[in-house]
Amino acid sequence: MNRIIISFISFILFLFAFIPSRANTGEPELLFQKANQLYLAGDLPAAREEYLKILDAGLESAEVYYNLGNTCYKMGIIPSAILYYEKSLVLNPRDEDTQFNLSLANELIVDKIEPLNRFFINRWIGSLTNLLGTDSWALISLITFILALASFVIIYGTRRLAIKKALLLCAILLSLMSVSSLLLAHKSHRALNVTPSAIVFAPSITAKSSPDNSGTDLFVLHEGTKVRITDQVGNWVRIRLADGNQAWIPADSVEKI
Amino acid sequence: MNIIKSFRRFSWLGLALFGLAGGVGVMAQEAIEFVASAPKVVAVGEAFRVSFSVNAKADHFSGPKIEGFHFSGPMLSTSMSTQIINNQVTQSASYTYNYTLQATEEGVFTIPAATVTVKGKEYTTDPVKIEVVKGQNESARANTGQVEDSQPGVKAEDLFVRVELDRNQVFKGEHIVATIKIYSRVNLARLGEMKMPSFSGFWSQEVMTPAQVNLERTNYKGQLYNMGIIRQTILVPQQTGTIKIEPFELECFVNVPSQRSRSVFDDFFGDGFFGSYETLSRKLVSPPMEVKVKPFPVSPPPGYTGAVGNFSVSANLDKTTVKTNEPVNLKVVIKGNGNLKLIDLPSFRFPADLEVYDPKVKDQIEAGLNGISGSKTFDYLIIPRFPGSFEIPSWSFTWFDPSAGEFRTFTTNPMVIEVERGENDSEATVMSAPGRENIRFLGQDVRFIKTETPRIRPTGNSIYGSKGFIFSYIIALLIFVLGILMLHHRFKSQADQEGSRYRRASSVIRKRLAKTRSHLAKQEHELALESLIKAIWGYLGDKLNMDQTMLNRENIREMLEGKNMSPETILDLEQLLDNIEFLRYAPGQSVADYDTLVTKASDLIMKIEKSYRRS
Repeated sequence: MNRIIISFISFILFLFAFIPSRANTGEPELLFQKANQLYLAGDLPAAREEYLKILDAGLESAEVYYNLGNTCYKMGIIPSAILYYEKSLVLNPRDEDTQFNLSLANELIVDKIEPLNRFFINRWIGSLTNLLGTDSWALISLITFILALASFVIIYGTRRLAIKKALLLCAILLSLMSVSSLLLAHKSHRALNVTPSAIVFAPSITAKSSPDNSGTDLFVLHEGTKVRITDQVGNWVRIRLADGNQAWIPADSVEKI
Repeated sequence: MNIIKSFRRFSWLGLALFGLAGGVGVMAQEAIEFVASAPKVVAVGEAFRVSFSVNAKADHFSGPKIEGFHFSGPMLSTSMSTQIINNQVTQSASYTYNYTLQATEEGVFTIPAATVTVKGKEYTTDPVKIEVVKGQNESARANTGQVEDSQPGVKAEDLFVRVELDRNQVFKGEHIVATIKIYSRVNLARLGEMKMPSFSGFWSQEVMTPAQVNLERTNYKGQLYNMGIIRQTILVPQQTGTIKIEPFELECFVNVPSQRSRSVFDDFFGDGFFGSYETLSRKLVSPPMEVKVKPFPVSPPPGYTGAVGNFSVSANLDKTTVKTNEPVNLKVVIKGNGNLKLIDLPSFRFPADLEVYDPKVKDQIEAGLNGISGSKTFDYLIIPRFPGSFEIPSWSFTWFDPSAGEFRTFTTNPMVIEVERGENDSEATVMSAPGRENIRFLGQDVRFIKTETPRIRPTGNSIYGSKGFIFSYIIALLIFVLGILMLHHRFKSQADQEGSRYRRASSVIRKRLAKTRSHLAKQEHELALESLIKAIWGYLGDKLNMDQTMLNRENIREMLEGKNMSPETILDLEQLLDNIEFLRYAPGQSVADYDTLVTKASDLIMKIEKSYRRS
């Protein structure tokens, strides 16, 4: 019995090995500090360069995106600011500062789109998905899964009826949690990778009804507007606006989050 | 007495008026004025008049010493008038000494001062300057005008309009005085319609528009003209570069001697006597003018709002220590000469907690020939609603001084208002219903950057969907299955162990009972009892799967009840155990007792075995 519990604990510890250990003295951290100092000194273009160096190295963090968003906002490059705030929110969806700054930046863009009024359950699921990042949901799913299995093992192993009853309830709840958070992780992963959101970067772009220039003009989008990419044909992407309208625009006029 | 004296004095004038006045009235004696009047410009050979007027009877007049002119005089002429308004009698008299002069040569001459003595006091005129220009044969033409008159119309140089500027090179924002004048050497009947230039590119302000154009003699390019000022305008250029002033257009009506019905009769009576004039209409257009507007020689400092001129600025608080809700006035005065009208509101950055009302703006601005001058006053009413020390940050006013060609800045010192809590402040707070107020937002900005060093990790390192993630699930499942299997195995072996003990229980007790009997046969009572107890307890332990140490009567009773054993059997068992105990501590009984005990024990075991088999 004791051996089983020990093996479970060691397994959970093994899972934590997936999370890279924290190192504050590396090169990207120094770049980050340097960029912050430049930002404070008011040298925004230089600060932006430094932040971008971190990203160019194939690294990322919610804080780097957030600070880069602030820098772009102060420089007046609103579409970039929105892009970086959105990227920061992908990694840390609940950061209040990022949400606040994103709403400020969104005040400054041209297009005003009334979001489609979704069914309330969908809305709940949507906001639940956005509560945590993909990885957090995935981890929650895995941990609850392991705990549920452990509960089942203990239920099988014990002879005491009270413990069996309590643990059965626990195990059922944990299983439900595991399945639902796995679904949320899947949904969030899909939203980021299969149908990613994007920010319009072209100052003004005419959305067409088909993926070529001869298509009928449907509407005009301006920089900073958030769209969802649902398909891609050649150099054209199919986009969906928050109000449900769909059209095709050139792929190079948007930047994926 | 006074009245009688006045009567005597003016008796030769309308006595009747005084009769009507009915002996009422106060005579107002005006201040004595003594003035000289003369044309400014005359032509050689022209006869003109210089007069000295005094509004009281002079005791003595000493005329000026006139040089450079032929003259005759002085001739005294007097006029008097009396007015009665609401029984107020006003009299005015005028005594004029006239000289008739004729200029002999060109140049500028001065008629010196004349002196009069009125009631023992001496009064002097100012000297008068007269410019004499080359003779123009107007009078000759008037007399012998046959040749001139035969030509129809009016020559261009005899009648024209001009827009005159006091300068034509200025800085942007510096004023120019534009004067529209008419020059005439003909008999001007009247002025017709006029079209003013629009002065586009300028901010314009009219200085003076005489209701009636007064002609004045003047010297223009050495010629004598009658000049009239039609309009004067202050122009302030609003852009740099060369700005054209559109021409001014004026329609004039000129009297010229009639040509058509000239008869001997007309000739005889001369011009104008019987109205043998004809009125001609002429349209006059002024030559276009250009103004060159220079840009500022140095680039304007930040905060410059376009003021040009020469200013003095003051900004003062009337009180610096007040109680809450007491008004404070901030007075900003910009005084001087320049484009005052275009000065904006001062851009004070008041502390947000002070209640500041829009300033009262007072203009005292006059447009004159020196440009626009006066003062602009901004009165701010400030009501501090909260106690504390409030600082109004310094404010700067920058203007361009065209005479120096540079920018000047006036900067106020930061002004501090100390506000003490008023005595009835709490009352006031209660009065104004909810004492609490919403926080006022002064601005909006993004929140500050994150300064804590973050965990920076490689891009796209998503746990979900990674091999490790799926692997973890599989490992977890494997360990689960393994755990269940291990438990299952363990339970099984445990059950096997219990089962064998259970099965062996009856055979074990049979052996032990046989041993007890053999002890009994050898008369070893002690040992027999010992083995009997061991046999019974051991059997119960095996049957109930319990350790010997755990066994006691209560336990056994509970366990057997749990196994649905009948109460008689349990009672029998307890009785048997009681009997054995009794024999142990009270030996010396018959052998038969021991035998019954063993028989009883074996019967009981049979019973228990039977009930187990049943269940």
